[in-house]
Amino acid sequence: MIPGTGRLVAMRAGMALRLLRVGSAAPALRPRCLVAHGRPSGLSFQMTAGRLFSSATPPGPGTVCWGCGTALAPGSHQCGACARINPQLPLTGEPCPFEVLGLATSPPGAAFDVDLRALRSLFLEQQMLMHPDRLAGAGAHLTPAQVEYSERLSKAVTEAHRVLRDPVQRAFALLRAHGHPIDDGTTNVDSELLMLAFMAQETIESGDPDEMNDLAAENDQRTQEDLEHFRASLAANDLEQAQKVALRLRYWQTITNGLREKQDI
Amino acid sequence: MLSRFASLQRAVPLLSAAAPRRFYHPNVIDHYERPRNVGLLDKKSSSVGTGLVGAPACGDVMQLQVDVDENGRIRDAKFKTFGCGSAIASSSLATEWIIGKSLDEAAAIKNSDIAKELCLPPVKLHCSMLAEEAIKKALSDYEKKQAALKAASA
Repeated sequence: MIPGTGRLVAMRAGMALRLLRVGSAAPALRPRCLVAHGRPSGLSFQMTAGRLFSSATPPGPGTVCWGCGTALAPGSHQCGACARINPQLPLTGEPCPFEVLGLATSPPGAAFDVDLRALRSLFLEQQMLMHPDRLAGAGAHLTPAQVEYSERLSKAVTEAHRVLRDPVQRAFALLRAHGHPIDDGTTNVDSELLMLAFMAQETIESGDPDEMNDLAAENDQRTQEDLEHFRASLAANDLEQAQKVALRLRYWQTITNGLREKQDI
Repeated sequence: MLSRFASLQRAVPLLSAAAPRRFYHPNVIDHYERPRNVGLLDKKSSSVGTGLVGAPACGDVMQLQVDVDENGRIRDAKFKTFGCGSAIASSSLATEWIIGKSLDEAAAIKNSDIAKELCLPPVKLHCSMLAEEAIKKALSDYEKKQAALKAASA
């Protein structure tokens, strides 16, 4: 069994489409069964629309869902009843990709082991819920602000998926979530690492195909090795060591990107 | 984004269609398109000091080398930077400034001067800091070599 699958699948089944789940302390909101069009069963659409869109001012943050009028859990973007995304809540700064997709960041070891297939399914489900086209298509008349918000949220979800899909990017995001970003100025870049990086860049610059192939193989291998070291540091809860390893991964990734760019020409 | 090697060989177009010119100050673009002093000096030479620095945030590598004459003046400097346009421009400017200077004068160059000259935005200030660090490391490397030579001949 792939580690992490069980956790993500359980998450999907039980609490499927919540956006912001703050670890295990969050109340267990159970969305009612969603019908295909996203409206809660048992509520007539006319009733909903009439109640909400006749008012001049949209509901404020943290109050009631603009889709069905149910009271929102504080801090939640998503209605527990109809699972609609609520457009009045702010999406400021650079949201943590884990948070955006509702994934826990603790314990770090488990958080890092993401099952890619489950992640992709989660991403597609989220997009189906909140994509601006879908929201507009449900017959609701969205205000421009609501449309803009849903677009931003949709972009945040796409970006979160992109980051979490790649182990190296995921590692950086996880460290940032735990207050140990690789660029916090506490780690000095080791001279040997710099020399390796410099020589690798010179190889890429030279464009010699054989040397570049050798470099690619070597770089892939040390990336995999360092990902294992990263996992081990997380398992040992040694975030400082994890940070040092992630720094190396940063350089290997720059080399990988450089090789890819060069080979695309 | 301007992101490529400081080299006279151009394997890629200078500015991709996706990189809007207006985000880079003309001074930076000038150094990117016509970098001064790109290259390598003989690391093994006793008159050459090498400084290799890196920025964790972006995975940049910057190498700056100095060739010092008998009077303690920098007669030549070369750089090779793999990173963004601002990093390339910062190191290019740094080599321009230190040629002809004494070791003390070169050590006095501040990252703020470099940033000001290139009008670097806040998000790129670390590039000028990297250049200042590279100068200092190159000078320090040269001084270590000199000290070792003196100790050997004593």
